[in-house]
This record gives sequence, C-alpha cells and structure tokens, in this order.
Amino acid sequence: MNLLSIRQFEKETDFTKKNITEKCLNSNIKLTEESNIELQDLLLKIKTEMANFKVSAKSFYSKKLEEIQLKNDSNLNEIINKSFIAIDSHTESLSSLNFKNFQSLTTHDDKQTEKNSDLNSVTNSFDQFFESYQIPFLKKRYLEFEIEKQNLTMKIKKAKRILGPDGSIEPPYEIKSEKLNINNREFNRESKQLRPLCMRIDTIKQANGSAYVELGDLKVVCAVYGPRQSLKPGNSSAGSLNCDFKFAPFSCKKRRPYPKDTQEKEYGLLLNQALVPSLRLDLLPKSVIDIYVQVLEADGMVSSLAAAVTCASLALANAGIEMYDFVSGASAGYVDNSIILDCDLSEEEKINFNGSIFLSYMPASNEVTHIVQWGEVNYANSAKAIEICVDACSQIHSVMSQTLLNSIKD
Amino acid sequence: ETNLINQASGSCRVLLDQTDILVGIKVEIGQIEPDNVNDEEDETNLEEDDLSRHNNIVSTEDEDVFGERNKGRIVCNIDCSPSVAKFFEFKKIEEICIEYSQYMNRLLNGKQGGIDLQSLCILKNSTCWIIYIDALVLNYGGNLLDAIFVATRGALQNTRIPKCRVEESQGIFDFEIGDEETEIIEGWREMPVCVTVNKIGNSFILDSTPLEDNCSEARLMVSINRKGQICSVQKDGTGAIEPTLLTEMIRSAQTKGKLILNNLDLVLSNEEKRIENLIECVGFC
Repeated sequence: MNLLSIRQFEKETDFTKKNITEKCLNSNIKLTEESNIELQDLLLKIKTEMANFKVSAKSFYSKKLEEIQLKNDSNLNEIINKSFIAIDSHTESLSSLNFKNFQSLTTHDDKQTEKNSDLNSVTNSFDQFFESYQIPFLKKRYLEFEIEKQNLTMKIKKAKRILGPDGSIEPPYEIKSEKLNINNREFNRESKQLRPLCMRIDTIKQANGSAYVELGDLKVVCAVYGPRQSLKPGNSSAGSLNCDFKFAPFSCKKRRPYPKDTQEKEYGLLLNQALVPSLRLDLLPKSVIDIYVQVLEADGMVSSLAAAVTCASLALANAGIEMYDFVSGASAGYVDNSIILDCDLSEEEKINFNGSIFLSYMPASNEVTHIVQWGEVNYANSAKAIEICVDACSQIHSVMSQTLLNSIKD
Repeated sequence: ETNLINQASGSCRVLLDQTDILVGIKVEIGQIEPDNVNDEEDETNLEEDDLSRHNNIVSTEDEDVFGERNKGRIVCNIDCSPSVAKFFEFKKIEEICIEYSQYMNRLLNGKQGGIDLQSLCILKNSTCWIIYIDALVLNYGGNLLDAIFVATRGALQNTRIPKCRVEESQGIFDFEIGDEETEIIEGWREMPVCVTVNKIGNSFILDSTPLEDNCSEARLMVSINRKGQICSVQKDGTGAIEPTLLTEMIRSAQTKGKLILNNLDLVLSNEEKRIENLIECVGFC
C-alpha cells in the first residue's frame, strides 16, 4: 500500500461521505429500502476496507520505520497505535450508529430539525472518524520520512570530508628538511639490504590464484582470475593479460579517491609489460587473464610497484598458469652519489633523494622484463643500480619459489 | 620550425621522415597545489576514453625549511590525430598516449627535467605559472617519442612568459602581469632529449621506422641531458632484455643523445636568428 492507494482511499471515503449526505439531503423524506441497502453496503465496504487498511498500514508503516531506522520514535508509534484504535472503535460505532440514524430518519420524516440534527450527527461522526483516521497526518509524516531519508542519502553521497572555505590552502603534512644518511637507515639496514620479506599464497579462496606480499611495512595483495573466455570478438592466437592496479584509499599518506587516476592506470600498464614476457600466453588462445593488484599500505611508491610485480607473479603461479619463470621486482633509490636498495616512504621523501629505479627480472632466462628509472644520474651509477637490483631480484625469487614449495608440502 | 602558432606562448614543428609532430605551449596562472610525495594525483574523473589534459601535481619536494610551496608545474599531454589510427587500434593509441604523457610529466616535473620550476612561482604558497605542453602527432612514421622531445625542446626555447611584477601593500601581495615584456623559461637548455632504442633479436637499433617498430619485442626510452647524465630510463613493450644488453643500450643511447642535443642546439640558434630577421618560415605548406 503506498501513497497512491492512501489517496485513492481518501477519495473513496470522501466520496462515500458526500454521497451519503447528498442522498439524505436530496432524497425524499422517506428513504427507500434500496437506499438503505446501499447505505449498508457502503458501510460494510468501509468497514472491510478499514480492516484491510489497518493490517496493511501497520505492516507498511513498520517496514518504512525499519527502512528509515527510526524505530525508536515513540511519538510515531503512539500516533499509529492511537489511530488504529480509533479506526477500530469507529468502525464499530459507525456500523451500529448510522444504520440506526437512518432508520430513525425514515420513521421520523416530519421532524425536519430532528432529521437535520441526526444528519449532522451522522456527518459529525464521519468527521470524527476521519479525524482519528488521521490519514492526512500519517501521510504527512510519511512524506517527512521520505524527505529525511533522501536528505540522509544525499549527505552520504556528498563529500565525506569537511572541506575548508574557498581559497584555503591545505597545510603541509610534514616539514621535510632532513637529509638521508645512507649509513643511518631505519632498523640499521645496509644500503644494499632488502626489507624483511613475507609471502603467502592462496589467500583469496574465490580467485583462481592469489598472493600476499609484505615488504617491511608495505602490503600488497593480488588476485588472479583466469584463464577465462575473452569477451572481445574475433580470434586471437594468444591470450591477453589484463592488469588492474589500485592503491587502497587508506594506503597512502593522502587519501586516494576511488576512481583510478593516471598514475594507477600507468602502473597497470607497467605491470602488464613486466609480466607478459614470463607467461606462455600462446597456449591460451581466445582467453584473458585478469590480474587485480591492490596495495593496502604503500610504504614507498616505487617499491610498491616492485612488490606488486612480485605478488602478481606469485598469484599467477598459484593459479596454475604456465610460465617460463617467476618475475620478481626490485627498486632502488639514488641518494647523493650512492645507491640504496628498496627505499621506503620516509626515505623517498628526503631532500637528497634524487631519483629511483624500478626493475623486474626473470632469473631463469636472465632477462630484465621491465625497467623504469628517473632522476638525474650518470651512466656509471645507472649501470651499478641495474646490477644491484638484479641481485635483489634473484634473492626475492628464491623466497618466491620457497613459498610455493612450502604450500605444496602442506 | 619554431614560432608557427601565434596564439601559443611557444610552438615547434618537427618532421622526422614521416613522423610529424606539432608541439604547442601555453602558460597560464594557477594555484600551487599541495604537494604529494612522488605522486601524480588526478583531480578530475578520467574515463578510459578521455584524452584531455590531466592535472598533475609537482612530484618532488621543495627544499624550503618551512615547507613552503614555491614551485610551478608542467603539465604534458600527447594527443594523436586520426591518421595514426591506421597503424594502431584505438586502445593501443590511448595506451601509448597515456604512457608517453606520464613519462614526460615525470621527467619534466622533477629536478632532472632541467627547467627551473622555482622561477615559475609568482606568489609563494598561492600562485604559480603552469606550463601546458601539448603535443599533437600529425602523422606517424616511427620513433614518436624522440620527435616529441625534440619538438618540446624547440617549443620551450621559443616560449615567452609575460613578465610578472609582485607588489606588496600592507602585507598583502599582489601581482601584475605585463603586456609587452616577456621572459624566457629558465633552464630550457637543460631539458633532456630522448633516444628510443629498439631491441630486435639479440641486438638493438636506434630511430626505428614503423616496420622496425613492429619487429621489435622491447623498446627502451632513455633521456639524456646536456651534461651527458641519464635523466630517465623506461622500458616499453612485452619483451625482455638481458642485463648486459640493457647497459649496452643505455650506453649507446647516451652517446647518440649527446650528438642529437648538440645538433639540435645549433638548429635552434639558427631558428632564433631567422625569427629575428623576420624571415618567413615554411609553415604548414
């Protein structure tokens, strides 16, 4: 039962009210049997409809209440209860009263005044009935609820954060004036030492393959779905890889909104390029493999990309997709004139951090599957950095193979 | 050729065999955005097909002790005309554009880009010059990124920013933009040039034609600056490169890059003289 039906009902009852009063006024003093029967029918109709309405209204309003979560609105409960009680009493009174009145009307046809007063009483009782019926009031309340609900949803849709006034500048998150000392890294790490590494596979049961990698505080999770049928029309002689990279909104210092920005799209492309050389996609024609990587805590932008490659490769192996070898990713940073391996966020923020390099490497064929480097550096340092990263990749690779072996043993 | 487009602050056109690139630069005043560490955050909702400009925030931190923001920024965008569509399918074109745009953005918005971003600042913490570099690929004939970088360098040499006077009255800073006076972008000479090295089989080639591009399994984009330093390296393509070959490729790119830079500077100085002497350029005919 909705607003429409309430209105309809109102109309009907109004109509019946009018009808009856009109008939009484317009008709002759004598009410014929037919009209009596009509009246009775009408009254019965009203009664049944009231009963129906009561039941449906109760359920309807209780549902609405649940939706709007205003169950504790005692006022509304009271009102509804009152109205239901009134409805009950009045239906009974109506049926008994009116018939009597009209009977009296038919008998005492000479006494106009009495008739009028009886008529009045009839109409009064009707009015009283409809008042206590409280349809308009309930309808009004219902409308109010709807508006409140809409407002709430609007509020939720709008920005969840409180923005400052126009023209205000966000405060800097940190005063970065420190220089990085390569001999004084956190946890006494050497310049060529990786952060503690932890890997798990099969973390997501619904996916074909999944992996979770922790590199110090950096946390990356990856799920692989496939090979599944490619939705692209036409034949393709080899499968395709679809990489999806996302920083979780809470992962970085500044909140990342849900839509993917260009950096994440670019990282997805880079992931794709890093992983494709290792997979035997020619064995999977007309198929697509979907890789979804999410960074839960980004402790270093470039190292999160490196960890993502490692994680995705592990997940692919867990999914059972044929490949030449794992691809492991490593990153290093250029500080002053030296190279430090695997920088975390605090190190990336330092002033003398000149640039960084990200490298993904496949030890089986001794091939670099992807390299990205930025920062002004001379050729010698660049070559050295590549060497260091390749070594780190080999180390990571051994951990990856160990993880898979352990999982099989279990 | 430079200075072709009057409406742009700077422009340059490069024809590399069949590859035809037109770069237009516009400078606008904008807000200094809050810094993001090594971050390029998008302010607008980008759909997959949207090739319009992305607003990127300066990626490196400034060295001021009090954490003040006093750097302008550069926003690069690469767009392809429909004539490129006969070489690649649509999604591939989009990917290429995003990748190259991001590459340029990352390169030019840092110290390695050479351009002095602090000179672009007008009022600390509030306003700065934003340089919008838009590259249009009119025709594709291989070796896209090299040509784009050459054209960008030419356009930057050509760009004139209106002079800006900062006045202070009662502690409130205000700036006025001059109508006639202009100045050059500081540091444009230090802007690097890119050399694309394609790996085919077990060796590599430079300056590839479209046919050679199709044969190559992996591509390396190396940026070299005037001092011979390597500013950026990025691999592209779905193949893999051995580490020894990788270092060789970077080395050869470095030597070639220096040569290209020297020649380019010669040509650009000739262009300047031509403009001074008001000789007509060939233009688009």
